[in-house]
Amino acid sequence: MTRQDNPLDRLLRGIGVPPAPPDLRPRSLAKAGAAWSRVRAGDSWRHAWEDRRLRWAWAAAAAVLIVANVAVPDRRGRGEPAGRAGVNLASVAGDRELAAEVALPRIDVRHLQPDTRNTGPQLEPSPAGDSNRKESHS
Amino acid sequence: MGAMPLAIPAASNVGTDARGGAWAEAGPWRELFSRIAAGEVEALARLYDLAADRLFGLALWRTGSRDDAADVVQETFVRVAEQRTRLDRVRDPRWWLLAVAHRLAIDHARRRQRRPAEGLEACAELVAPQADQALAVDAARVCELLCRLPAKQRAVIYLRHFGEMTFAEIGNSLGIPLFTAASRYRLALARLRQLVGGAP
Repeated sequence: MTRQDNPLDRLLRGIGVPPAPPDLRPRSLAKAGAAWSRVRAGDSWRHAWEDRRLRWAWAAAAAVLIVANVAVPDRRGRGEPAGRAGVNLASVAGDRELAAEVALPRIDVRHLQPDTRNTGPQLEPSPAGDSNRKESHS
Repeated sequence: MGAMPLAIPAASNVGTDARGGAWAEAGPWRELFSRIAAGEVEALARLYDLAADRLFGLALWRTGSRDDAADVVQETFVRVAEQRTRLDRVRDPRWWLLAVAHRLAIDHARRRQRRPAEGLEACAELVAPQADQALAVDAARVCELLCRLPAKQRAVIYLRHFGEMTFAEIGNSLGIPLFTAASRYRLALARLRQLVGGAP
């Protein structure tokens, strides 16, 4: 690239920056030598960290995890377990209709047939009492 | 782990000629980087001889301190050693070295919270290579003027005049677009004209 002569060119002509101090050379090379020995070429973890493509992969994986954690709804956390839901709904005092729908129907023994009543659990003492027991022994 | 003993060859005279042809050709630099990447520790000394003066000059202009500039040069070569396995993939070692040195110089300047453009005592130095009294006076005058420029513009001027770099190369070294480099240079020249004309 050809450069036109400008005022700065004229001012800087023949002038230079000072060279590096002579004692800087052994100091720099000594430090570089120490760094050279610190770095192990076969360190795969270091390569995994320093490689640009792998760093992008690390960053992308972390970003996907964060986005997924925020964006995807946690359905387990929002809904109640099925068994507990009925209890909670039934306990809502203000909604009688809902509570009646959810509540389990109770068995009213007064409406059961006599045969069914005998085979089921005896909820009250039988008026026949001992006579029934004798028949079964004979 | 102890430091690897580094055999330091005697300084060659390549470094003193670094502002000439040695800097202009990229081939020897790539070869040096390849040798370092291959594990040839002795190539570091050769690289130092080629690059140290330019790196020191850039760091001096950016930090305004000889001590900081020396630290920058040392740290640049530490980076070379640390990243040696990747050096053979560097497209142009000259840009890479200058970019590393420039970033380190900025870090140093920030760490010490210096503002080189604001004080003459923190001014980058210029020297007249020959024992020429008139040039020495010019050097002092130019130094005073350049110290009043922003550090970013001064870095561009350094690379343009003492690095003999094109604006594309300056942009690659400093990590800025080509047009930004050219714009900074143009603004610096305009400001210098004002300063030469006696503007405050």
